[in-house]
Amino acid sequence: MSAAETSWVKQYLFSTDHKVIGKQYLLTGLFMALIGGILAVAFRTNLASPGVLSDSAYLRLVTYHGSIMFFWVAMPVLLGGFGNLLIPLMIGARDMAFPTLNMLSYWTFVVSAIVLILSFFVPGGGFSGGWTIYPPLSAMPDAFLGEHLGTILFLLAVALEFASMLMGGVNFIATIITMRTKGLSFFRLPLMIWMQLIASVLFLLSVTPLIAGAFMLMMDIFAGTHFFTVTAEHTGNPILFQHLFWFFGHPEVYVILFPALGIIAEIFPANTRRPFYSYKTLVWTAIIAGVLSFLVWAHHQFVAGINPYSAIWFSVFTVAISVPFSISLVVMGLSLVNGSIRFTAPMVWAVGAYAMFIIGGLTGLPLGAFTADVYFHDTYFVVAHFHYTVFTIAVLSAIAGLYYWFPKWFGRQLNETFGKWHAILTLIFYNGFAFPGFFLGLAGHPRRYASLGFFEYLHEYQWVHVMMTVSTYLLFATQLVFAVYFIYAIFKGKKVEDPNPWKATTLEWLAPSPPPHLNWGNTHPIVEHDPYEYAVNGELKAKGIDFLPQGKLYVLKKSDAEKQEQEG
Amino acid sequence: MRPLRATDYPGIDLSIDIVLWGIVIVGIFSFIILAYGLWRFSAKRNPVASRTIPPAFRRLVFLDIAVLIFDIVLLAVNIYFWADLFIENDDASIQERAAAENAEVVYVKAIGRQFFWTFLYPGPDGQWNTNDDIIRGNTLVLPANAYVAVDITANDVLHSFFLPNFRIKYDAIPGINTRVWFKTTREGKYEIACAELCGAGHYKMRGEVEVLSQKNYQEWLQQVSGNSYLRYASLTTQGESTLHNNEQNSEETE
Amino acid sequence: MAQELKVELEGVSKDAIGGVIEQEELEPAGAPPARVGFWVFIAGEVIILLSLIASAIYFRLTYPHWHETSTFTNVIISTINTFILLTGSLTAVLAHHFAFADAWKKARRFLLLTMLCGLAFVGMKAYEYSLEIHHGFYPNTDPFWMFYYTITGIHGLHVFAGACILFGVWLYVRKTKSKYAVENAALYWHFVDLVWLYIFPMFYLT
Repeated sequence: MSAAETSWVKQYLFSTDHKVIGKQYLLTGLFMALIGGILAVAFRTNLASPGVLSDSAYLRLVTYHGSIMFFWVAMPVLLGGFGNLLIPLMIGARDMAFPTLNMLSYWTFVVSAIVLILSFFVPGGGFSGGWTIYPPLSAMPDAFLGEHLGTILFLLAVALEFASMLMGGVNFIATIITMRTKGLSFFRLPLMIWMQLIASVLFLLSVTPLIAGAFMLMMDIFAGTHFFTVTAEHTGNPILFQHLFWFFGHPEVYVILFPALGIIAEIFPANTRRPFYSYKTLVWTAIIAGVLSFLVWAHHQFVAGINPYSAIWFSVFTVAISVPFSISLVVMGLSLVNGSIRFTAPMVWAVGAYAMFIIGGLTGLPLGAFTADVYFHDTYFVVAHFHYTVFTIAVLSAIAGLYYWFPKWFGRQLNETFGKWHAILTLIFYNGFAFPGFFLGLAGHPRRYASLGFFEYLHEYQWVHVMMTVSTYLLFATQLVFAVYFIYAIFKGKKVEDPNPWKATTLEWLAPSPPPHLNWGNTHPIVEHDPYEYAVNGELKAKGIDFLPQGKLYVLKKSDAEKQEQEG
Repeated sequence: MRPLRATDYPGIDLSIDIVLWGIVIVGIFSFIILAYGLWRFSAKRNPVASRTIPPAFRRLVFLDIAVLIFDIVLLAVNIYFWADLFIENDDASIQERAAAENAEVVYVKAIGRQFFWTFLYPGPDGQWNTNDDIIRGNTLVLPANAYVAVDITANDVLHSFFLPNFRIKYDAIPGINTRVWFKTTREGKYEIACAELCGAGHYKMRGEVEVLSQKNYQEWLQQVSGNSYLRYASLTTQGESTLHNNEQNSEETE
Repeated sequence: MAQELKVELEGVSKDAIGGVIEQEELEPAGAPPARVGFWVFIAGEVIILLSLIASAIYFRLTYPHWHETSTFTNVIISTINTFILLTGSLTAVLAHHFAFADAWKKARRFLLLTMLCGLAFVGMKAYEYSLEIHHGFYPNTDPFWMFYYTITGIHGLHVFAGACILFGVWLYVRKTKSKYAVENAALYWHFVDLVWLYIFPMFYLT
């Protein structure tokens, strides 16, 4: 191996640089999104014209679509990608706290993705028991699904993914707590960093019980224990797994939701040219919602054999969560007031995501209110609701962030007009496939049905499925065009001249685009102001500048030893 | 949108109506404000941003208070009907309710398996474990104007007993008995869906509810009681029959 | 002074430069990252084991024969094992103490002793398992054995991992003299020890 090759491997493949790892996460996540999208297109085809796929193939695609979009797209893009790329730059550090652990985290993630894809092709097929992995279906795959190897590999892939994200989470928390630059107190952190911190803590606290649950599930499969399975002699408890799963599952949604809100909270001030309306309110509502998210898990199990009295409390807490979220959405909305809104491409995306969050949040109420949920549970209403939240998180917000930080990361620009059309088309097709779900749910259409043909009361709704499928095709085609353009722009896009094209205040815009290895060269950023000082008065206003960067770069004085070294 | 309602118990429909109207009103209001804000404060109309905001907009905080009040009303209604449906669902409460309306009470056991339902009735004598117990596959025959108490369980994996026309749904869980009740009102044939993923045939797991007039129901009861061809014990012992059959089957096919 | 201001970072606007600063002024105050990171990691581990223990308690409440079955466990071996773990904790504390007193030779010796305690524990545990399996108690025998094997198994893996970490640190500190490596290894050992102090009464002394 020649010297040049070694350096290429070190620089781009097994790099410990947070920016390279962030980009690796981002691109791997986008690649997995492509796979998840193809799966969606395939099973939606089956819904529009039943019989294209076999029954178990349909369920398999649904299962993999859900798992991929959650664990292999939303998390790596929003945490692995955005987190790694932004945390050190925004807090004025040169890298993450544990760069080697960071690299290990990414490569564990790659292995998990490979195992997941492998599990799809092993004899017997991949796991088809839903992304929620409910036992006994998953605990006795031989008896009920006939997918022994596929199930085991699927579980292994999920376990590896969790391990990878846990390494990342430990790294994020340690970095944000200990590596902030001078002057950057906690309440001067950009909102994106706050959201990443809260998300990492939530993930760490919530995923660990599921790891315990997954271990018991593995014991059920391998050692023949009966934690979750029921036979004549042994009485396990299938509900226990649901408790462990949803104790993870609900905070998990917020793990990806908060970074998405963080992206919107960064884009809004930069494009309205006024400070965020109430920075502290957003932080505190996020913390309160995060705490509450640990008290609501059984709202996924209202009709699944839990104690009816405890259901009351779970419903009260669930509905109570709407209060901090309504406050944070109102605060975000108020940040637009008296602004001077520039409808740049990232802003159009962010506003779209914000609007869709309103729908996603409100439609959570019928599911959290338990008597109404008796009817809505496991119908298409649920599907529509979580697509309005998760699709908004993983696609709308993430792409908003991509348009916003693309110049910073790649030193090139994405076309503004392209971005706006991309946003508008995506919003139209997205609503085309997701909104009819509410009506299907109201009609009592259960989820995970390969076809509605067996039920007379659903027959009249076949055309709705056709419409949703067509929208899905168009949505997928739109994203495909974007994917091609995105790759093109990374290599051939127009170079940025100004390192701060949006005239934004946070620290990452002080660095060159793209930032060099170790980010700051012989300078170091020092924070002097709050993060969103737009619409400033006084001296700067007279000069025609309406924003005050959060900090300044200070040139490091060389120590005597270094000076001698240079001279010698 | 909702399928024809076959019960005169208003609880679930009322809860759905309240929450849906609430979110539609709040949602439309939010979207109008958002659209106005985006138009009013676009760079074209408002070239210079300001750090303060007009007091009129600050009143939008009342939107949060509106949401809070709505939440409380919503919860009160939901808890009221939830207590009705799932807390006071013991035999005595259901009988009391039926007596008040001069209606009959029918007890049924529902057992879910891949991919069909089995229903057990205590038969004309009203006692379980007797010779006139009735076992029916996939069709639940009921009299009109009766309170029906269904004890649900499963023999293999999770299922969910979903009656869209009666707005009722509850999971069937191996090893656990759960109770739902509903009231039948009009005669007719309705469908039972499975609402919890139970394997490849999930979407085919269709059952039927047949609501007969009181007279026809009694005739049917006489006709079928004592004609059960399945061993009763094998169905009520948890899991035994199907689970073992399934395991054997899968071994044989391999 | 002018030379001091030379920015070796290309592509930065001039307005962004604020002045010159000494390296010493930048040192971020507060906890070292290695310590924070490791505590966060331990927090995660604690919750995994707590969930398992909580699940065991949940099952125990509904399983009437738990108490009878638990009398079949081997109290003698487990008591010896408890002492082995506690001895390991003592040596870990001593290793930590000597590392921070810069007595590296002693520190490394105590690290090795702690590691040996871990291996002894794993060995005894394996012997105990073999006895139990010989008597016909398998993981699928009943809920007690199911949880017994799962939780003590996971704990045993943690002890083994702890021994591996101690060995790794023993090698690592020879050159680097990293105090935090010793501290974290000792911390991990205490965590494993503490978990055992919950497991021991739960499965052996009921």
